[in-house]
Amino acid sequence: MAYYISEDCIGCTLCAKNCPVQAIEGTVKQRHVINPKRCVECGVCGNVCNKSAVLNSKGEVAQKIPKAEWKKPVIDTTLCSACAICVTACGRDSLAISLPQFKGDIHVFAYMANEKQCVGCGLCESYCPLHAITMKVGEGT
Amino acid sequence: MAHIKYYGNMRELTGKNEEDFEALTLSGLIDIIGNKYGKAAKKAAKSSLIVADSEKVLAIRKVKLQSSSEVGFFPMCCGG
Amino acid sequence: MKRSQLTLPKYALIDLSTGEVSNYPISEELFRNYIGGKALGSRLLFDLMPAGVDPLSKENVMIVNTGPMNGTGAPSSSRFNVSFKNVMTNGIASSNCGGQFGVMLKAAGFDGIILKGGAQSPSYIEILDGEISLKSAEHLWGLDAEKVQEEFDPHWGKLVIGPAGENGVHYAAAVSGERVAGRCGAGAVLGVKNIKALVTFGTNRATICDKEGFDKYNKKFINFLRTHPMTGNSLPRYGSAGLLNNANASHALPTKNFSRGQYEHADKISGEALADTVLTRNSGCVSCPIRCARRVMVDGKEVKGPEYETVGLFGANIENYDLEWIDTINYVADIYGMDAISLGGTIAFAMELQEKGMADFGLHFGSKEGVLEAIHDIAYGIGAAKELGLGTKLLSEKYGGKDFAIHAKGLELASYEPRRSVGMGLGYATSSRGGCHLNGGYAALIETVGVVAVDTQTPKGKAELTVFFQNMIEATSASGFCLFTMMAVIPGFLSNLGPAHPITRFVSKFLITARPVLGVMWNMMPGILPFNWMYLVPYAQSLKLATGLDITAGSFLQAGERAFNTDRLFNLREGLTAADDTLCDRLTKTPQDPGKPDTVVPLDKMLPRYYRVRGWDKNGVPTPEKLKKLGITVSI
Repeated sequence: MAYYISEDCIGCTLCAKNCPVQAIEGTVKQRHVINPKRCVECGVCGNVCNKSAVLNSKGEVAQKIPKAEWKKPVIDTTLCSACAICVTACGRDSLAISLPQFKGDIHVFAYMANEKQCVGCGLCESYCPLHAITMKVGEGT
Repeated sequence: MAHIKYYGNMRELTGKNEEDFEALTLSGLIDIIGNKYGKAAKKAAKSSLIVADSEKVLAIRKVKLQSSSEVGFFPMCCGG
Repeated sequence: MKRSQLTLPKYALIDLSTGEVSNYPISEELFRNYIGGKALGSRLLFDLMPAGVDPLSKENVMIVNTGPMNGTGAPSSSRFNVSFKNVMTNGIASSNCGGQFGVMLKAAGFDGIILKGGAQSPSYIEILDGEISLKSAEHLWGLDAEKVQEEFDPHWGKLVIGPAGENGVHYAAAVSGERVAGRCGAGAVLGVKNIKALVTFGTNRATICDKEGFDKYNKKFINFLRTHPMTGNSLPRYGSAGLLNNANASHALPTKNFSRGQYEHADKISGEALADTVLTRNSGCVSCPIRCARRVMVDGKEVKGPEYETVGLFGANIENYDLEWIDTINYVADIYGMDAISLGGTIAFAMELQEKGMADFGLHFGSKEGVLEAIHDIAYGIGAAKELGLGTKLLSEKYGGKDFAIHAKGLELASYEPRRSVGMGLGYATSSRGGCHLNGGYAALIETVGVVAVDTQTPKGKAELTVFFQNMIEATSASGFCLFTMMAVIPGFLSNLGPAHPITRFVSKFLITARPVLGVMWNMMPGILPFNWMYLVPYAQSLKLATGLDITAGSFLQAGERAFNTDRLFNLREGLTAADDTLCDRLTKTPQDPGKPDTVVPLDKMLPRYYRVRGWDKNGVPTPEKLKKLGITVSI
């Protein structure tokens, strides 16, 4: 079951702007709609909604969470194989693969390249085959 | 003086692309490389595809070197 | 595993002439037998296309599909496949490609898309969240492969053609991101169908049957690849071009249109040179821990670096040692959308025609002059160079020079000189899609450049080894894994010992001397390997855990054999015969080293044995018993 936007929506576009998979459509001052096929139930829309207009997959009203309390990925660079699944999964372009430290350096890894963009959706964590990513509050890398 | 050419990670281990050594046999040459650049280089040299005077080396012990010999160490590589 | 747990692959059929989309159900039997990817693709082509279709007509059917491992997070599993009737050979064609498209196709909810017919006007196919629509591409037509991809969301998977595909260059490629489904003319087929691009996005997750077991096995598999000397060090360090010096040392680097096997300036264009000079960083496909792809600077812009084939064919094979120029050629071939192997092979052939005074395309060995311009003209179909877009075989029919036309069945050979790797020669000759090193079994790996130094000249044992590797490669491709993971199947300890070590020598000898046993063993699949062992066939267990199919190492290899035989049936149905399993006279009759008469490809000695090991009759036709054993139900 996907998330749902109720009539309380005032069309502020915040949810659409933050959705990591571009599942939300709508124009300013119009009620927004979540594409149920696209929605990954990450809850980001609920976290940003000032009007409590987002219902989660159980039909409960999702509560806004202040940005400082969003979870951020913490990457265990010793585990990471730089396979870049997380980089592809991240719809916010927050993650990147590190550059080699010296000529011939092949021990690269994923890192948080653009923390401002991260919405804490946790897609990277869910895709990582080595479980090298853990979502934690206040410990952004 | 045999002329030695390094390839792949042999270049990193020795810091050189080529150099000359006085050696009568291939195993002697590998020992010299080991003494000069350490164990890792010796191991890499031994496990390389070795070409001495345009012939692939199939048994290190049997190869004699001349003063005009050219020896190439090609660490195993793959791809394609 | 209970049968009900199987998730069957989801395929959609698009009739491009009407834009109508329908589901194309894949039966459980097909899934069990053909797994996915190129294997399933070949079988579906067999069903969907009558014999004798002109590959450059709208009647050619194209299948774009993935394997079951795609999108699961298994290592190096982002490959997707394009199957169609081969523009170069008129037989079966499949082209395998990495990058993001396959993963996104799966995320959009499809395992495969079947393209039938052709659109009336330039169009692109949008596959979003399970919905497929055909849209006008009038505004995109004419754009190069890089520009057209910039027109779409960067997060989407894209498969596009460049001008070469639009203009019907026979070896035009389909380009996805920076990766290319190059061989056999996929771009030309899309061009004929008026399809400029396929774009796809979605958030569907691959279903995994035994999540916990798969997760555990996956970790082991990834770390196995990361710690193996080949996939964990050599490939990421030097890329695929890393083997260029080794190929050169083994006289197996094609030089001057395959007339020699050694190039004096090889080191200047090697993987080492690339890593030391132009390389900025590595890159890789989604989900791949190997990261063999290169990034280099061309004209102040970071672009994809060349692979071994491009460096070999635009370096030694045309006697050029300007690596930065090769980077440019590689980039240009990609954005025009052309297969760098066939392009390089054709240009070298044109140079030899020029040298012998048989044609005048203004191209000369050892000279870069005119090459870039010719590539541009080929892609846009302008001037005299337009003819070069036909490929080596058709050129040799017009201008002569068949004895040095380096192709098999019409497809140009990759950058391995088969006269110093005769098993590779057998592979080239028998490969279903034509002169392809991978579909051909890649014996070069164990003969010339790899850890195991199998005697390169003896015809003995090559049939058995080639059959084994061809089957393995088929099944690996069908699952969706990258073939580079196969390097890790050669035990790591052997590469630590080196080719001159007694144990390695013993293994190399054993592979040749044990040939009668091996030949019998391959025919005893799947019963003889009723288990899974990571260090032998790591893929089978991965597949089993992910899909719920009951797969062992033996049935995995048998699936490969089934696929190879299906390809063969397709080729036979299209009129190809044993007479097409051949190479030009230069490779089979003229010794590479005049002092060594055995430096030719002794096809006449290897082919009969190859057919026998395959269970084919002496005309290269699979026997009814073989087909029955493999459970192949189609017939010609």
